[in-house]
Amino acid sequence: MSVEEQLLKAVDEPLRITVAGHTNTGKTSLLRTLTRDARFGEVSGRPGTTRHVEAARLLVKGRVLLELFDTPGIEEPIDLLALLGQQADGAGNEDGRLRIRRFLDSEPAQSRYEQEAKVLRQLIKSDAAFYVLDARDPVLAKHRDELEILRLCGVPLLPLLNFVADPDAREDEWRDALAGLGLHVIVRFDTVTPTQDGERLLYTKLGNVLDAHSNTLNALIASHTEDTRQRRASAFMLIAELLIDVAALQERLASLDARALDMASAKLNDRVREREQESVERLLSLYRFYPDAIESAALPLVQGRWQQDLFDPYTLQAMGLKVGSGAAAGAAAGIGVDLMAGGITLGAAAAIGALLGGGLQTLRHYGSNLMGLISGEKILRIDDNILRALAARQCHLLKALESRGHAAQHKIIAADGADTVFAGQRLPAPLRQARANPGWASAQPSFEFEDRRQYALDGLAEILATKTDTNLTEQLTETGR
Amino acid sequence: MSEFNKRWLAEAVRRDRADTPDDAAESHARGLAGDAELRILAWSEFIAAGNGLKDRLQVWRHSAAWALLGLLIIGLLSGFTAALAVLGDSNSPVNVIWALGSLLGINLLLLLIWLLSFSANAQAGSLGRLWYAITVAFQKRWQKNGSAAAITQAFTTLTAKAGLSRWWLSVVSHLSWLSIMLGVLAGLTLALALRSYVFVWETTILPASVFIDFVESLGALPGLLGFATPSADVITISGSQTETILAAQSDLQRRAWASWLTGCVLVYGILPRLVLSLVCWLRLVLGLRRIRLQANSLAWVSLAGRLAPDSEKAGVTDPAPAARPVFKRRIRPGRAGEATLLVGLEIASDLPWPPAGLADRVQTHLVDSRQQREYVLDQLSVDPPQKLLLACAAAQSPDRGTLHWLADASSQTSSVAVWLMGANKASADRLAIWRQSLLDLGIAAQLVFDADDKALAWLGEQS
Repeated sequence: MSVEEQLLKAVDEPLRITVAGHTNTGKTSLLRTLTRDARFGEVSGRPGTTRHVEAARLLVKGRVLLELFDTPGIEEPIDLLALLGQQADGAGNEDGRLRIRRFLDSEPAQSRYEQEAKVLRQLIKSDAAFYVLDARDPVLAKHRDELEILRLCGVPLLPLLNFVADPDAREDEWRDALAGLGLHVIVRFDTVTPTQDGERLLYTKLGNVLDAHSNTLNALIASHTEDTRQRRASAFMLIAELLIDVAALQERLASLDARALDMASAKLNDRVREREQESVERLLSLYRFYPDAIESAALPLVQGRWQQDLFDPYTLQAMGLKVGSGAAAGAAAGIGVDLMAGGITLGAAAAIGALLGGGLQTLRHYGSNLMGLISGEKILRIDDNILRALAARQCHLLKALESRGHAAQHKIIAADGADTVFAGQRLPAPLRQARANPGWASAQPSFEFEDRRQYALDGLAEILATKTDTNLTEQLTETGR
Repeated sequence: MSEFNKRWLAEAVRRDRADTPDDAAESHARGLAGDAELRILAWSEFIAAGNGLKDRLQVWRHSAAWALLGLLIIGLLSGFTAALAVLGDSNSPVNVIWALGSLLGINLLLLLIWLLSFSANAQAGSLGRLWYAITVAFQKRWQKNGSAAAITQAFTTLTAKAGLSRWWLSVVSHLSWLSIMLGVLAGLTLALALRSYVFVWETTILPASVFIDFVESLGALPGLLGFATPSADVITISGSQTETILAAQSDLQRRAWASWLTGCVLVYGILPRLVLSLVCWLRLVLGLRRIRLQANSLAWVSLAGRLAPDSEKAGVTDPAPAARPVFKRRIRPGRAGEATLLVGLEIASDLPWPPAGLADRVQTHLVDSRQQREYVLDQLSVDPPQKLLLACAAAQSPDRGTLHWLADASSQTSSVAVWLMGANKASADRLAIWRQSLLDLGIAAQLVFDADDKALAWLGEQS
């Protein structure tokens, strides 16, 4: 069913979900991941970082579907449960909500248990709650007492096992303890490395607990699925744009003296560096990572930049690429730049492929190359292997972005060792076409009936998607386990 | 503005601006209720009204309409003159088969190619391309500013993405042919009305029966609309090459031929083009109506994110308490018993308990539940130990409940130290937080141990 159809069936009132849990278990991190807002609240390793209740809304097609409330951690559950018992004073089998209200009206809710009172006040007026727990922690009496208190609110609780991917996680211990408390629907949701379908599972299970709202949650799931698919397609398109732009880049040289070569190749290199950085920034913003935020430390970047220069031989070596192989002129022109005396590629099979795909304009361009040959003009362009390196790095970054939640605080993906995307001798056809069309180096509105640059982009994006998708799914299932 | 034109304008605005933000337009759009696409449309309309793009889009549409009108008029005229040329002056007889072939041949051939283009998945509608070229030429000639290309490209890409290029090209193509054939019909009618033609057919090798079958089968369909078909006799006679017989062709016979010819042009020339014009037009209009901007596509996603975010902060609904509660160790003066006590607080099964290498005189307690906490606190106050080592799990974060109990327990005697068990597994941050919290509590840094041997050595020392 489409998002629109699901929306029609959704309940009018937004669903109100409180995020509760012991202190320092990752409640705010969960909010960040679910809202895709890396700037929500404050996250640190210090307990009691969040001491207020803060709300966030999730919207689909302009409609608020979900209201999430981030709450302070519960810190003194043992004493609080004792207090609740004292206040009940042997009232026996009374409604838990009565006890909670009695407590909220009492003096300790204003003083010693002010923080806990905020959680309970919020919880009692919500439709459901996520109980976030750190699966690395042992199951202690305080956790049991805490769940006991939360249960008194009479709101469905969905325990959420955070950090479950950690080797020290005690998942079975927790599942057992939760079962003992009557909580059988449990979600594994790692706020640091959420699995690809983690959110879908989370909302599906929430729907199981909250039957009346399952349409709302289905609408949310449908919308997120669609966004994820579209975001990935956009990311591949961004990378394709970068590659086509760089492939089309060229500098024309009148003579081959060292100074002119140096200047021209430095100019070319700088343009590629800028263009790569622009692409990195657009990818980050597509995935809503802020280069300056602590979260981006999880990426293979430093301050939102690749640390290794693209034209550094070591960068290429790490990816198993060499530059300037064969062409002596290429070596003379400096690393990463391929020198082409006008028309050299004309005889090559590559040119024929480009001609076939490129149409009339390509022919015209080769005409001007021939002119270059006659007038002694030389063309500098970016080396094939630099394009390979660019593709590998961007796809590597994309993988990192895809598998990270917004609450990530630790770098787990190394900066080097990006997998090659374009193996083999020849670059994909769209890139070879771009070589022959210097006008493609930037997008310009044109009167052309068919946007051939766009066709090349579509084609390349598809190639990138198929080449990286297999890797991506492998990696995601790995982190998901 | 039609639904499609709104989206066309939005697409043109986007291509024209190339990501330059416009705060006024954005806040205008954000103020509207609706989804991301609706806000994008409002955003583009706001900008286009301000910078004149809206007017230029209208100009574009007008010039396209004029180009189409010109094309149709030219078609009408050329069809008209073609019909006159084919019939010629009435001095020589008209070869009916030849004439019909000339009037319908190219039309039908191109129609066939158009139909075949569906199976070959090729673009069709060459006259549509001509119209596009003329429209673009107008734009290049008369619209000096740069947005003409953006408007043009917005149109072509929007329709191409929706798979509608074929249909608008086809509409123009069919309409042009319709106008040509209408011109032919007009020329034919005029010539037949004002001149006297003798109709013949000729052959070198074919028998007359072929022509009789041909004429009769072609005439069957127009016959349904009331057009006459020459009878077999008339057809046979028209095949005769004898001047006298031809001259004797009666008015009725000639009218039958004229009616047959007109009927064929109408039914095989005009009707298919008319029907296809309508079908393609309908298909185009329905398609255009369905075109939507994809707010989460790369083209729009960043703007849509600003105009209609999919999550928003709703602010603090319950502010933080004014002050953090503080727990202080308050040592009760002058009381110290004989015992040496090791108390483990919230020690999980993964830590060794009781620790190895303890002296026999050391008593141990494990504390987790409320009962245990109360019991140990009671014990401590009744019989304060001489030395108290409080063991905590370093890997866990110290919460208020833990610190509160540690404050209470450490208040019972003067000689207290804390042992952070499993410190090698805890992060440096976590250890620093423990140390700071314990310091705030009133336990000096030198009495907080993270090495097992140091903690146990402290317990073993005689004070």
